[in-house]
Amino acid sequence: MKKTISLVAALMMVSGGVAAQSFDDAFNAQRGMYGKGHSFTFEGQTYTTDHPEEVAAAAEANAANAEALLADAKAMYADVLAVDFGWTLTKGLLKSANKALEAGDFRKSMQLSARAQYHSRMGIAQYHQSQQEWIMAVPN
Amino acid sequence: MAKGILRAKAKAKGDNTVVKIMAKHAMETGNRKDKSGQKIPAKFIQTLNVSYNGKTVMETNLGTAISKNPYLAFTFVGGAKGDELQMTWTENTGASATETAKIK
Amino acid sequence: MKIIKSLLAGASLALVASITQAATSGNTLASVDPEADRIALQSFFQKRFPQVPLDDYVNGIYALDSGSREQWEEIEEFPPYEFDVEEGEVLFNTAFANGKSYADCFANGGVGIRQNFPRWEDSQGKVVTLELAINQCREANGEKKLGWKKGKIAQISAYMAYTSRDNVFDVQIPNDEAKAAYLDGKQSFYTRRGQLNMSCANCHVAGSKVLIRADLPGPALGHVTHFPVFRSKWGNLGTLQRRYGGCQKNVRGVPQKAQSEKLRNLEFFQTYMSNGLVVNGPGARK
Repeated sequence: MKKTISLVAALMMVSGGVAAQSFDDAFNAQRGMYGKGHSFTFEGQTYTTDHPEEVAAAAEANAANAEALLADAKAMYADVLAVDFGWTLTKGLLKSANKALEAGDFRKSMQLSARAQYHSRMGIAQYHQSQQEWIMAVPN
Repeated sequence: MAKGILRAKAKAKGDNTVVKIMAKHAMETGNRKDKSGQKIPAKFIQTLNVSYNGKTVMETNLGTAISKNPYLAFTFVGGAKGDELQMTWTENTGASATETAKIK
Repeated sequence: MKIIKSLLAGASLALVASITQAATSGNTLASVDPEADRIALQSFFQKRFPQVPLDDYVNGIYALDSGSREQWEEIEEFPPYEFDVEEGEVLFNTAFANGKSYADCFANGGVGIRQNFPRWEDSQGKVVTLELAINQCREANGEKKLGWKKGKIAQISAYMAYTSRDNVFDVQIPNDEAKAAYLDGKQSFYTRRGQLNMSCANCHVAGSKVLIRADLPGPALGHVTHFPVFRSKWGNLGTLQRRYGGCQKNVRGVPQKAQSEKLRNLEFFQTYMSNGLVVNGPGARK
């Protein structure tokens, strides 16, 4: 396991339950006001307004990290496709990330993988959220 | 008799006649390529002229800028219900034909 | 900070089971009421556009917008799908290699039956759309399937729709399994997807006749009655399932496969919503 990659909060990965919702609200509000890299507290813990993917992309730019990030991004893309909520631009990002990796541009590869992973994470969150929310759009 | 490529509707309206024509034609420019990469040969309507009582009422030069199944509509002064229009078209390949339409 | 790489793969999905159990009431198999849904959708549009008669909704956006209606009426004088209907008729009447033909697969020889599709087929345990029935007919008679989105299948479907014009849509939901398929389609219609996070309803219910760039989305009521459609953007005839994929791509969502269970259920829901309106396919749209 590559220790160089650390992710922000377990809660960020879990986007379906009620607790995750309020963390997301706090995160989004803080990020909206202060931008990236800002520290805030939520329920006694300190977090930063960085998406886990952004943190991962900021790790040391080397082959091992770039490969690991790309693998993670591909895995999450497979997950989002499995629930039928993939986004169309993700595949292209993964392709570009791979190309950059092969060309030795690790930083670029990591950033592209990070974006791709963010897409997929958002798609999975979308899937969960839609289960509860779709009914609200129905006219009655 | 073979069905022509032109579908026409002509209507007398007072002193004028309103004509609408749709041609069933691929209008191949000659630049498109098929699946094997070969250019599809050019085949398009070059001219389409409509005449009434021996006089030309509309003359068109179509060509490769006009897309598939061209649709034209125009009005000319004259024409009466029951009379006929002569529509003649020529193709870049040399093919040509004349079809008729009744004014309603 | 924990290193949580392990969460990336499966754990987030572990929550899926518990969340789907918590479906809100009123939209479960026990409580969904298709007829009430249909009436509610009609009321929504009648309140929103009080001058538009119900029957006119088969004309989509042209029932709501006079400017584009004028252009459309002129196009309909020489409908761009005319040639496709002619070709569709020829295809429909051409026998298979084994001597049988489409007429042998459909009630009433396949003429004037468009309004009964999609139908819940108990023997198959699924929703059967008209195009699915066409391809099932082909395969049952030793022929290869046609592509789902355009070309010959659209032409045959167009001819069959044309022979059914003015027949009233009458999609049936005979049992609970069919109802489950209906509910699935309903959920799909109202679910946001894609990077743009939009549902069908965003554009076609709330957003109907609201400019999206240079286009006006048509109303969900009567949405599907005119398919297959000659879309000017395509320059040719295409099926409803083709349009579904296109719309999903428009919101940057990976499209679901044509005639997949999800999209057949969606078509089932949408057509049920148009029960009471007439078949007017094939149609011409921008």
